[in-house]
Amino acid sequence: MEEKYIISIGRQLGSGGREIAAKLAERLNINVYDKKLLQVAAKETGIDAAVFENADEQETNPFMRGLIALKGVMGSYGMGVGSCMDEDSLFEMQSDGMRRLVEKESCIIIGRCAEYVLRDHPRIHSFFITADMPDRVARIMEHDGVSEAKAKEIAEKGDKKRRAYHDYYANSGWGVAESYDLCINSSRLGVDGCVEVILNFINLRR
Amino acid sequence: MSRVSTKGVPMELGTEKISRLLMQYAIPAIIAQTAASLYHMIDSIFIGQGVGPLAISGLATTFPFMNLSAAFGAMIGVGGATQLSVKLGQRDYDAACVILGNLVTLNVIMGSLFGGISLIFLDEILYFFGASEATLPYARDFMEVVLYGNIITHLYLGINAALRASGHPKESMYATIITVVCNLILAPLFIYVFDWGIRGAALATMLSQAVTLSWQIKLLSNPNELLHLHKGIYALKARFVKGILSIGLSPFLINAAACVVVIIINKGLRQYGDNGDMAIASYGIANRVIFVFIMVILGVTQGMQPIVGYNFGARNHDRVKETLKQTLAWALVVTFTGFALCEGIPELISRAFTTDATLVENAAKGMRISSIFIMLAGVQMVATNFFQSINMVNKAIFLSLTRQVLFLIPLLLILPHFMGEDGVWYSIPIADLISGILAIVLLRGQFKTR
Repeated sequence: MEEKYIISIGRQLGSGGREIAAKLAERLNINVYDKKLLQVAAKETGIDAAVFENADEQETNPFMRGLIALKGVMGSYGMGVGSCMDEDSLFEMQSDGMRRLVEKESCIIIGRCAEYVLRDHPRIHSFFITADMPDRVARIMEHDGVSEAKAKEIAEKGDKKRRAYHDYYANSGWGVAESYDLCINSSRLGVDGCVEVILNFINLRR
Repeated sequence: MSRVSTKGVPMELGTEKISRLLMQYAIPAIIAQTAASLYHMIDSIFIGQGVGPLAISGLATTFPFMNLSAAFGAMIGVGGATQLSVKLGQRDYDAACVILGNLVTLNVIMGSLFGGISLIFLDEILYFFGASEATLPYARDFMEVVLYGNIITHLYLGINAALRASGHPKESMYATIITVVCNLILAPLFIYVFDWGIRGAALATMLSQAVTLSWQIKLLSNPNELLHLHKGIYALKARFVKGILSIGLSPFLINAAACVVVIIINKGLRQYGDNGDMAIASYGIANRVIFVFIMVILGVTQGMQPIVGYNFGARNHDRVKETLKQTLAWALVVTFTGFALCEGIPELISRAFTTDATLVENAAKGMRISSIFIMLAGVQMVATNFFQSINMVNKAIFLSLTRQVLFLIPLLLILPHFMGEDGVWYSIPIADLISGILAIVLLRGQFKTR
């Protein structure tokens, strides 16, 4: 039996990361997990998927986080269980779901700090997809049907949120080369070119 | 083997009988919360009986100091422990160790800065906090010892927060209990046998914390533990320091607000009281007694949090409601006990602290007035924690600020103009009343909308 492998894909908003993941999945005949991961976690824990979605890849204000943690950390002796509803507990449940998932099947995971959560997995390949701003703006305009200015705003806000979320949980920088096996600019090679590069990378590592 | 908590899925929260769950989660929390507050009360009793009524007054003027010190402790403790538990959840022990090391370094820096600066301006600060020429020597004697040992206190509290976050809740509870027991042995020894006065009480506290701290350090120095103290983790890392301070800011502000409130109360009592020192001493006594009941409620609500949180997340609303109901029942029983004792036998309770007849009378009056609506304060605390466990943080913060800050501070500033010293005392139950009603309205609103 062939060993399970994982491809983790981090991406800037509008860089085509999702499209690349979908094409890769088709070529390799494996599943892609993005938001679906939340449903997996929800099913395992009995907690409503909407609750996970609220906390998903969001930037939490550190001021609020401190308030949430205040009583939990300084006073609580509740045997290692947080309030169960705070972002940190949800992230942990989601990470546990992720770890169990990759024991069962080879798959592609988009975002959600997968490259950090699964960093000890022997067969994880991690990639980060970027693109030039004009290309990202064009992609967001087409996908969301918004104006150019609005698209740029969405892209910038998205970067901020994802960076804050990633850097809080992971011990490495979002979109920083040393955090990943390979960073690719999709403006240079296009979506299909990126797919080929990733496939070649995986083949060479075998 | 390390016993780092891999929380996994606390499924029992969704199935087990609620009364049993509440017991299981609340009892350890209650023990921990009450141990510390009981200790403070007993310490005040030793000081009152062994040193005198002016010493109690002096001690009361050091409360804001303690709050402020706790504020800095909470900043680093909460900020560090939050980040620590995230990294431990991800089994990233290298990063977790560095955070622990940074937490230690920051505590040493903060502890020595706070201690050093406060020592330089000690008299000025104590006068500002409500001390008089008569009570200042006691307050100064007490604070000097406390401030010289400030690093110990900060490290002790910080490491305890880390222990709790790293899956050693029992050890962290033992640490609290060891400190309390050590204190209960040393304080009477120093005060009565060695006749060291209020200085002896402070020294007993510091020594007890030092004993516990060395035990904590020994626990965390075990190299077989995945999370342990070792070389190379103490150099501050900008990334973690920034995280610790930004997350720690809000806990700091909340504790600092508590400090401001006590200053206003002390100043009000000094200005409007017939005998300022005795009025402040009365507050010192009443506050210590009522605090014990408040801390029991805090323990109960902490036990409630995971149960409500999980079931709310699982959309199991009947269980959420049932948990809230049972927690409210616990809270009402506890606060009713407090109410009955403070209204019924306040003189008897005050006499435990002092033999001075005026002080007994004044403290009993204070206890009677400030406990009038303690049952509503209990409801308010349950509501605050309820909203926090269902992640409605804004409502939780607003509610918790109402009783202790938003309503209390204006009342404290206005009422004494019309009622004198009584105005200070009545501000407390009136703030309880308004915030309690508000809490009930918000809770009802929460259940009507679904």
